[in-house]
Amino acid sequence: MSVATVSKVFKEESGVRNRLPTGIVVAALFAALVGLLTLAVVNIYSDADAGFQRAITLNSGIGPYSGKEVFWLGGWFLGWVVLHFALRKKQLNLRKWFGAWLVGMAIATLLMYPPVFEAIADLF
Amino acid sequence: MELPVLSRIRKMEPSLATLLILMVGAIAVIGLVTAVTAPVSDLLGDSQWSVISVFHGLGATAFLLGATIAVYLAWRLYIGEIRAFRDLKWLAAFSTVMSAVTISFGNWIYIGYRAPGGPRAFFMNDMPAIHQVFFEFKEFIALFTLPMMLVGTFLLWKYGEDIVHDQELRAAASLPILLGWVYLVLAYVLGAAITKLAGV
Repeated sequence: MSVATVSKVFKEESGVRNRLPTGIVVAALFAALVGLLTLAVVNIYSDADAGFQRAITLNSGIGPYSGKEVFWLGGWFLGWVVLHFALRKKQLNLRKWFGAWLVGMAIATLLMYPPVFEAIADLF
Repeated sequence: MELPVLSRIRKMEPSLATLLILMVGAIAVIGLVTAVTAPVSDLLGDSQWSVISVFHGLGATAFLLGATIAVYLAWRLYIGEIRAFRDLKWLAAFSTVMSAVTISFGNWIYIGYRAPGGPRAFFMNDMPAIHQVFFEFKEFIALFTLPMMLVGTFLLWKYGEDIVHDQELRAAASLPILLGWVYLVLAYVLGAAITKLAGV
């Protein structure tokens, strides 16, 4: 790549990031993760505590899954609003935060696997 | 003489045209099968959940078709070789909508799954691992598709085509779509397998 090309690419990268800081990206990614981790925690707690399971049964047809979805959506969208307004003007290290997000997603996925969340619930 | 509709399809971006042709083809195949197996109740079954179950399955299939093309374009974006950026934006948005629709119908049909004498009772009695491991994993992992697709769609629409020049932004917008597709395939395969064992 020539010096002129590198300079052009750098200017374009800087341009989009100046217009829209990377905090917006991190907020969107982490809000999704917060929602999914909320779902995982609520699911484990529901497995461990029968009283909590009854309390989050908002619809008898769907059972406790109804309350788990409300917590998931609430955590996600509330988290998105909070994170967006907190980070929207910040330039964050996207490589570092994206790596952390991927690790978080792997943990959230593992926590949804029944043998894993049941083993954790059995600890309580 | 060329039909106006053909000229319009030819002018569309290739991926959107592919999705349109796939959808028309899928509807034609389903229509043909429905016609030759008439009355429709013979195809769908006589359960009170049959129609909801069809919408859930068709929604998931449309989601899978759109998301698969979106994943290909997301890969092209990731490696910095995308040309049909506009297609990716629309396919990601389509996938997000289909994810929400499929989850909604999934919630509805879950009532039938849990009902006394429904598939859950059958599995708990005869094959408890099917419900306790595979179905429970499916019901949660299917929810993961919505945030992944929405995040990808949001970033593509918010940052626009400028994202193409920034390697890290490209990764941030494309990898959630790829992850969403992986979760979708897991849920789709598990859902199809469970339905084969005991439908609602």
